[in-house]
Amino acid sequence: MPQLTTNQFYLHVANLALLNAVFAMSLGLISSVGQLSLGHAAFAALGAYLSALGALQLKIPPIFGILLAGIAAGGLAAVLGRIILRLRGVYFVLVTFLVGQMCALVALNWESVTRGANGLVGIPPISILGYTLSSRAQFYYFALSVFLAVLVFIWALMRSQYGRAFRSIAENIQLAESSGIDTSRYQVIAFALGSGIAGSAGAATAHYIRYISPDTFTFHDSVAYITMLVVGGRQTLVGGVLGAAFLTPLPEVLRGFAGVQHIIYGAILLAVLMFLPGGLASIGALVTRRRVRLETSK
Amino acid sequence: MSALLEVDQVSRRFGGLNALRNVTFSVAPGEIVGLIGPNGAGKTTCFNVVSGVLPPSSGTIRFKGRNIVGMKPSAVVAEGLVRTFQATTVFPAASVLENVMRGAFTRTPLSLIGSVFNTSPAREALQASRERCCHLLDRLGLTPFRQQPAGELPYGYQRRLGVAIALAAQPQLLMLDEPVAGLNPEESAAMGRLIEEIHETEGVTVLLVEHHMRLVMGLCDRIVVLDHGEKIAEGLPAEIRADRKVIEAYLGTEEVT
Repeated sequence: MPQLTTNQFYLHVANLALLNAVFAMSLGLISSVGQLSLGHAAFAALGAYLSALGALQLKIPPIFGILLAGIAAGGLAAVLGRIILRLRGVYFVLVTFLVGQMCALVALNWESVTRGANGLVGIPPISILGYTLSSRAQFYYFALSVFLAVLVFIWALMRSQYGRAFRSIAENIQLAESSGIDTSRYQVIAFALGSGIAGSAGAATAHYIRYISPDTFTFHDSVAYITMLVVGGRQTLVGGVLGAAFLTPLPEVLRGFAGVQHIIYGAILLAVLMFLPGGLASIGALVTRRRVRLETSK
Repeated sequence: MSALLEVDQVSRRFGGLNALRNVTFSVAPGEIVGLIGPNGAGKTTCFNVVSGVLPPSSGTIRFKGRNIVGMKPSAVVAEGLVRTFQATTVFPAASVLENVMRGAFTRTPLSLIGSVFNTSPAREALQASRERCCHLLDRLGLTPFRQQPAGELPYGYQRRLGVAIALAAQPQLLMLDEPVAGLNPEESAAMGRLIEEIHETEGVTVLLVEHHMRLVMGLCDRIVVLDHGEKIAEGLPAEIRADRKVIEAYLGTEEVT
């Protein structure tokens, strides 16, 4: 991207798309055990605040702050998951929604630490070995490497025995438990890893935009990640990536249609859900299936 | 001969309802034991309590001499006690082979971290597990469907696959919950032969809940009868057939064939 364009705005959208892809993929990890979190942005916010406060007040280098934020968010999710992952379906969704709202209220009202609605300003950028990533182009390479690392990590995880356990739980939790798969343990693992990645990505976002407030990661962002995942394709790893790549720039592309852009946005989502229930990632499979059908009918 | 499974004074209450009341029975190694009773007698509750899905309100359950009350179902499976379900028998979207591989989860000796990094010991363990599963599919006549999604299988084969998933966990005691429910007469007979066969070749002890009288009478060494949550009889099939209490409670006007 930085070779293709020097336009700062395009670079910014590319950076956001990479970060959104990480959020959507990590949410996909949680959804791979059949659970839907409506509090994903809350873990991003937690990571963002922790790393930002660590950098501002304790002078923790942002790169360590990002790692620590992931560990903290994952740890909190593990503790919380032990309690709330007993719930399934809509009950779990509702509880994660409430957890998200509680986090937002804490960020808003704990003014002595979070500065309330004013947010934290002047968050330092990431620096690696004395090299500071202050420009958008520099951050792009960092975001790209984080994105690739997360992609490879989740791919390897889903291919392993963990992935086998996760898919078993999503498909038939009762049979999974009776096949000797400790379903509560693997659900906690998936929830903690997914939320931990979101915490780190949230922290990276804070050091990129250099500012964070209770409005940076809200309920609407949680919904946006779910939308990306569903539009891209919930069942595959590239689904979240495609969804983020498609939906992040879409509002900007539609900017020319002032007034009706939200209607067009909604119509595109509806069209994808109606005609591509497997998401954008299923286009390839649909095309090959049609080709096979054509060949067999010859 | 010490018993493999000992159910001792087990009760289970749901609110005011006594689904199981002081039920005591045991299963010796190598036996096929039938658990029968009219609808609502507590057979399925008994299965759920023994397999750890539901905790008992009181009583103890020993498997190989160890108390398994309070263990998670997955931990009970690791001990060697595996059950099947009446309705949810397979993972519908996964291939038939993948279904059995999931059943073999606890018997695939590899470190989970190793499987993430795909180390060569992990690959070998998975390969060994896959071969074992293919062999199992072969013996159960499921090989032709190996790559097909399990949900697309004819119902009779789905029930069969349910047994294959349980066998993949290498049980010492296999608990079958109505293995022939919903099967036609030919399929039922085939399932009966299959149970007999795996009992012999794998040396698996079997405890089954079943409504199908002919199957139970023909297959089982011993029968335990429940009614209203209590054990009302226990004995050889011939004894059960002649037991007045059983005939009154369960068979009533129905003819036993």
